[in-house]
Amino acid sequence: MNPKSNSTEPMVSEAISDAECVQKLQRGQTDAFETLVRRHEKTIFNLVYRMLGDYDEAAETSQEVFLSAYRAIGQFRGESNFSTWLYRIALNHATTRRKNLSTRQQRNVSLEMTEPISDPQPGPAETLEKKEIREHVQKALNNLAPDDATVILLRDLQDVSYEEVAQLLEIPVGTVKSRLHRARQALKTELASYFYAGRKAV
Amino acid sequence: MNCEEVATHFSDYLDKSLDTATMTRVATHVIACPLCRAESSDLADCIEQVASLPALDPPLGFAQRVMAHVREVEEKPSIWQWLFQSWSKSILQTTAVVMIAVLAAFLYQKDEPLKQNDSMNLALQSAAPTATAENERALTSESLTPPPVDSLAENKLKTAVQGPAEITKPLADIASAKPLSRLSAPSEVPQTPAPLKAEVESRLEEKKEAARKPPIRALEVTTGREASGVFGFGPSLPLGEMRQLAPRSVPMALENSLPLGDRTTDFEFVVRRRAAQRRDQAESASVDSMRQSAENDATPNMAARRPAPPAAAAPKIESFAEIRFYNVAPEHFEIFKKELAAETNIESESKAAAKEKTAATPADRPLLIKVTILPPDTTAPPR
Repeated sequence: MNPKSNSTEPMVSEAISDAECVQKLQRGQTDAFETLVRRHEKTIFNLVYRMLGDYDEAAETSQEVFLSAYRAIGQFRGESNFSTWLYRIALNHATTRRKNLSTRQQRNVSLEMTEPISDPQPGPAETLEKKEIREHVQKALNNLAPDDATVILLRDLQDVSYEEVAQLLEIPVGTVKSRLHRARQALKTELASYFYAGRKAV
Repeated sequence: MNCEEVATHFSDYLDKSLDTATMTRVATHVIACPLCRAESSDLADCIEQVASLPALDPPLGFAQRVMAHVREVEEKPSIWQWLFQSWSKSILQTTAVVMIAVLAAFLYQKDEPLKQNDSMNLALQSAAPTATAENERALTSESLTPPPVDSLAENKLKTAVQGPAEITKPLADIASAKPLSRLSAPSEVPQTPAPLKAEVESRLEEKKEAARKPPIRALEVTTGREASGVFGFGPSLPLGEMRQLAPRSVPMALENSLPLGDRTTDFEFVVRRRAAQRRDQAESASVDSMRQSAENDATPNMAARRPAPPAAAAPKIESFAEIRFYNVAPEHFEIFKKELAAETNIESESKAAAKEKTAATPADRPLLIKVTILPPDTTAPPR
């Protein structure tokens, strides 16, 4: 699994592989876990953040994801990549949290106030427009069914391959494709009112 | 391929995950169909919007906080670890002690037969007056020569060496006691115990002679049921002859004879048989009187039957000692004693258990009387 956000991680040393870190960790070298955290924190955080749409919730949930992974590291047998295993934990936590937030209907309220800007600094007008677009995309993602949001985020945001998505969600590749098609259509429908209303009017 | 068919492939078409033929057909249709081209473009735009979502940095110090929590989680096991480490020494010590104890018990049990053999050897040795306690210990330590395993085993061996010496004493007493078969022939009993070798040899000889010798007669223990007279002080009769006496009319509660050893005797008599001929006559007389009383008289009168005419003297073996037990009702004790005195020479009389009887048993309980009948005095004239 090679998520694109992971490739932007500059701080993590690549000298030691995930598998080696896991082995060290399973032998009791807790410091090895820090390497894994630093290597995967951004990927996991962004996935969780896009699933939840709330920065603080995402930070808290991501922390729980890593702690769960640490506690369960003894059960990791290396049958899949560590990143796949970690993604699965993250998606479970995020989905549960998303349902809780949906119940409380707090997501939309907090979304606009909590998203920080980490993009390269553009001009003020461009920044405002991009931010507005992102907010709409995030709202659209939040309105999707969790399974649809998950498959879109994995495939389109994290650039995870069909096969890895299938492995991660434990569904056949064909199901991934059909689910992705359905999810993209649903997202397009969600975004249509904002992006394409003017075009259709024209 | 129509618009509906193409629409189902848009997602795969944009991901370029269709096979070449399908990709070509979809692409051809999309280029030709403005509606499908617009739909495809919108969908590609959606994908691009999601893909262009900025990757946010996690909060500052996220990894440190995670690791801080991880080490908190780690703290709890470390407390257990600390506890385990602090207890591990004592647990190891306890385990070691238990294992040593088990090993010691195992070795002790393993040595038990050896110890018993040694005890027997020592017992035989102690029968010889020349064998001293030091010799016994020396012999025991010679026979016990397993290689010392460790200090514990050595300690155990010491106890094993000391043990038999203690056990030996009662066994030595038993071994030094006269063999029972010798009661009938006191002349065979060595007055001064021979050394061990001589003892063993004499035993071997006894075993060889055992087939030739008649059965052991000395400790023939009878109860009142088997007695030939009213109290049966004469030599015991063969069982077949005994059966002929029935039905008996015995005034005493002889039928209630208890198994030997059930309780302690109330009275003990040591008596000596009188001259052989007289005893035979008396015995025959008592048997005759028993037969008569069985036929004629239901209420026995022992005094009347006592001076019965002498019958034909049957050859009787009476050169042995005998111990008999009798159950006698307390009211008949005086009659019993009188008859005993009439039949034999009472050499000693003791009331060893009289106190116990009054204390622990009902007063109307039959008296258990032990009579040790010694053979006639050797100085008496032979038959």
